[in-house]
Amino acid sequence: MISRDDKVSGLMVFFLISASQIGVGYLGFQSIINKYAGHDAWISIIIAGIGISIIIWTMYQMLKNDEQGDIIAIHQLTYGKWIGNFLTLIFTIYLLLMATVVLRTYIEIVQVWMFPHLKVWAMLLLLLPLIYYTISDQFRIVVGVCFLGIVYPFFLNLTLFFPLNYADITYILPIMDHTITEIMQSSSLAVLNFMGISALLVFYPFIQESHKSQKYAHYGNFYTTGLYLAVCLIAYVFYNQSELEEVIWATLGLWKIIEMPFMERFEFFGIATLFFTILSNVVLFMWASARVIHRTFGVAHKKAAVVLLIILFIACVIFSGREGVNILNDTAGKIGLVLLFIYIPVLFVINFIRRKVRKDVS
Amino acid sequence: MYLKYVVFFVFLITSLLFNVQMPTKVIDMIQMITVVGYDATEQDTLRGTVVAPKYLPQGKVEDFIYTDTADTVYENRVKLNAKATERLLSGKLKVVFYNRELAERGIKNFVEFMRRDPSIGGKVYLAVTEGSTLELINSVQTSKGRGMFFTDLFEHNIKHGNLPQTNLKEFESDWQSETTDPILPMFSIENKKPELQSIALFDGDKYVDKLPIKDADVFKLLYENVSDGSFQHKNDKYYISIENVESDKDVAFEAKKESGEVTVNLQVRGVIREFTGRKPTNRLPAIEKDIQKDLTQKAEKLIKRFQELNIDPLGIEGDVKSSNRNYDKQHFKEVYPEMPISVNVDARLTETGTRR
Repeated sequence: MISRDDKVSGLMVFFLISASQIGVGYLGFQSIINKYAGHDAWISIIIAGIGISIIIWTMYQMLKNDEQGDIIAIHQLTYGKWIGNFLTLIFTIYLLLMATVVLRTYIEIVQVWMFPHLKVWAMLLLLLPLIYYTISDQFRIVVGVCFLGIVYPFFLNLTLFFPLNYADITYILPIMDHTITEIMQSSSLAVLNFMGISALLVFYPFIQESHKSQKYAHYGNFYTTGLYLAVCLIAYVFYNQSELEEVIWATLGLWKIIEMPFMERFEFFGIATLFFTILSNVVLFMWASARVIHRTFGVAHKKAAVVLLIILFIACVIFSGREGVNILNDTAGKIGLVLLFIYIPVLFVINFIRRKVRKDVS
Repeated sequence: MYLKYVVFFVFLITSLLFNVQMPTKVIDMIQMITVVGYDATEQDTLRGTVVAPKYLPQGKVEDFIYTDTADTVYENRVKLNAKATERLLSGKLKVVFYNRELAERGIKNFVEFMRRDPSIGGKVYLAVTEGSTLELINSVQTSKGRGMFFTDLFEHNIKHGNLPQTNLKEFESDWQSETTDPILPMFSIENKKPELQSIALFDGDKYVDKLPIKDADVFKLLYENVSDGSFQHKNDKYYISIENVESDKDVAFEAKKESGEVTVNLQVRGVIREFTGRKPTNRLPAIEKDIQKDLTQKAEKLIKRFQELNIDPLGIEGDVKSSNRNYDKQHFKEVYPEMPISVNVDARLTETGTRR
């Protein structure tokens, strides 16, 4: 049983959900989602946001029914102990993969924009103790980091006004020039930037009066959608579509136009500040996977954390270069899409039937 | 219990030890390039000239100028480094010149390196020179350094003069978009001093024609919304100068007949600064009418010229594309040279200065 001291208030769900969603995708999703819908791709952000809201609702419907309500309990109830634990293990691997993607992509950005000679493993040695410190003890520390991960980089949103001087509204006109199918196809790509919410399946029991926290989860998702929409629209009036095809990190590219008397390149400052966003992301996923291992196999939480951090370290070192990072991102994206939009609804239905059957038996 | 602290410090020290070897760029041991010039030479190679300032104790700036030939920008950099006392870096790059011959061949390969480099910002000014860029750079006489000299020259001409907004970002957008052709300012040497002489018109990344800067006032009105411009009007009866000009541009497209019809609506407001007639206050509507007629004529002539050259620096295609769902690129390209484009000017003189 989780003690009352370990729990956090429902409001924190807002920060947890947003912090889990806003990751490295934020820096360059604009040139990925426009593959099908071109200049109308910003509409698909809204559609993806609504889709994610539905998934959050589904998750809450499942989680509400159980005192212990987390993915492990649901899996065990639905599939029995063995298959359930096996699926939980796959879920852990997915969480670990997400953490790897975020951390490795961030280090790549540091390599490209700031320190080309940075050694990945040496950088990781600095970060791992920090991550371990955050995830090894109470959940409250993770929540604190997530809170800062939203609040601290918030002022970066103000810098989005600078590129507006160079905006050309004709780049996104006429609106709805693409078919609904194309926009939906783009939405399936946009969803990748919202994927982190699967961590909700793990931290749910740590929330006070958790069943009442659903509205905060939706607010958090709403905030993320709004932020993505703003960044996307600004990038789409700043770049034209053929320019976007060549840009890797569109959001970072927006900062290239900012020049201040005391600061020649704003990116350095921006990338450093974004570390808070990245940290909250990695920490949340790592904590969740350690927690799942602890709950499933009974391994001590701290030991699980150490083992997982070693795996994280190795995974980050193995994938190198633009190509390696791209493979990571694509794989995580595909798995995440299947998990969120196919596996979770299916799980919801099976779980629902299973519960009805149980009730009738007893 | 202490194990974790030991591990932490071991991690920290190893990490720092191995990252200490990272190459550093100490400010006293590098030269920051501010101005670059590229000239076409006889073969397929180019001559690159770079300017790196050195700040002297008395608040003065001394410019080091290096020049050599090579095939690519960075091959050139290697040769220049062989001449420089300190390493040359481009993080502070402000102005890049291309000579006309190179611009005629196309400059995309010499813009590309700037877009790829994260240390170069989007506000770099690009320009074409009539003669050799080396001569132009050498002709500057200034105590604030050539980088500052050119940056200031560009800046005030963009803000208050006839030069439209231009920099690396704008050039890149126009050149990459399939709808607009870029423009760049063009310099020449007049009386041994550099002078902003005209606006270079491009077709894709290739220079095709130029427009004298003194006639560029109408071009600027057509190109963007002006916030502080000026223009002159002359006729048989009087000369007049309008300052503090603000303008709004709006392009309307009507899908008529084969090609459709484009109307450019211009709203211009300004203040009289110089007037050779008498008492303009009584005759404001008549003067406004004269100006309107003059501006319309000039603008239509300018657009006609662009159509003859088959270039679109004003981005009319972009406006058509954004307001027409049946837009077809192929079709537009065919009809563009013959497309009827009319200009509608609404000029208003809001003040006459301190005299009636």
